[in-house]
Amino acid sequence: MWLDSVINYGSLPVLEKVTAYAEGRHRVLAENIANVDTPSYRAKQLDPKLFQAKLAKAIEKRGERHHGPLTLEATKQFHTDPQGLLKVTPTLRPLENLLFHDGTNASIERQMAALAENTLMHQVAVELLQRRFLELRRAISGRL
Amino acid sequence: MFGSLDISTSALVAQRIRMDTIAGNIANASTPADPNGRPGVYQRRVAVFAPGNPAAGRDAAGVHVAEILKDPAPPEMRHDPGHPLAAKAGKWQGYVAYPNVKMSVEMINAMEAGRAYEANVTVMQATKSMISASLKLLG
Repeated sequence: MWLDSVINYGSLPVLEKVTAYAEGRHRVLAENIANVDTPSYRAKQLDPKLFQAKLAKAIEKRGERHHGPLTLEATKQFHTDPQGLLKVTPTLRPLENLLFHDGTNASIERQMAALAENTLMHQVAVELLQRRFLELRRAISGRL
Repeated sequence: MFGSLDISTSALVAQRIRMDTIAGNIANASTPADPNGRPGVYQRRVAVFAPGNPAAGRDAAGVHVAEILKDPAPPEMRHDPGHPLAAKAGKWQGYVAYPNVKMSVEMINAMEAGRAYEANVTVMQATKSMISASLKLLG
């Protein structure tokens, strides 16, 4: 379809994946922060480096064509469901330091920092998406 | 995306309930009698959190107060022979039993609950900014 080749061109599918991933990760971080005082709660995590590596691979695989849907390789932490939506499944955060004596490995500072970083990543992706749509709208209307 | 707001809300509710128990402890810090006026000392209450948010449905993410436990630590005995509730005989003759509430512990817990509440409000603000950014894509 004609519109499909417009929508699945260039950075649009990439940005869509980044936004979906950031939203999934935001949920995980919100849950960790909500449970900061819960005894024996183990923090969950999603590794953005893993996602970025797989995304880079998918972009490379798409190659020179610059269009067509991105196929992200499924991992333990995320996969694409039959509807083409990105689904995330967080894993337990490894015990990198001593547990508190209520059995948690909560680290509110790190979680808040990750949250801030994740929000900015989402903002960047949405901003770029907005620019892409603006360009498309200009091209369609033929006016600046 | 809207689910993240529910998670943070459940944490706000849980921290508020915890703050309520702390307020109850501090208010009763020198209550030497039970609600019916009979001698029987107040025991410190502790809110225990558990993951999950049953209010939003089974398997919903979040946090809730699983139970409010009474601290079984022994009461604080203060020597006050003129007090009408002072023990008349035995090992604690002349002593009055006061609640096992430690003001310093309660104040620290109150501060922690307040900070945790703030952290969750910050998360909610981030969620809201993400939602409104996404909505702006509509034009």
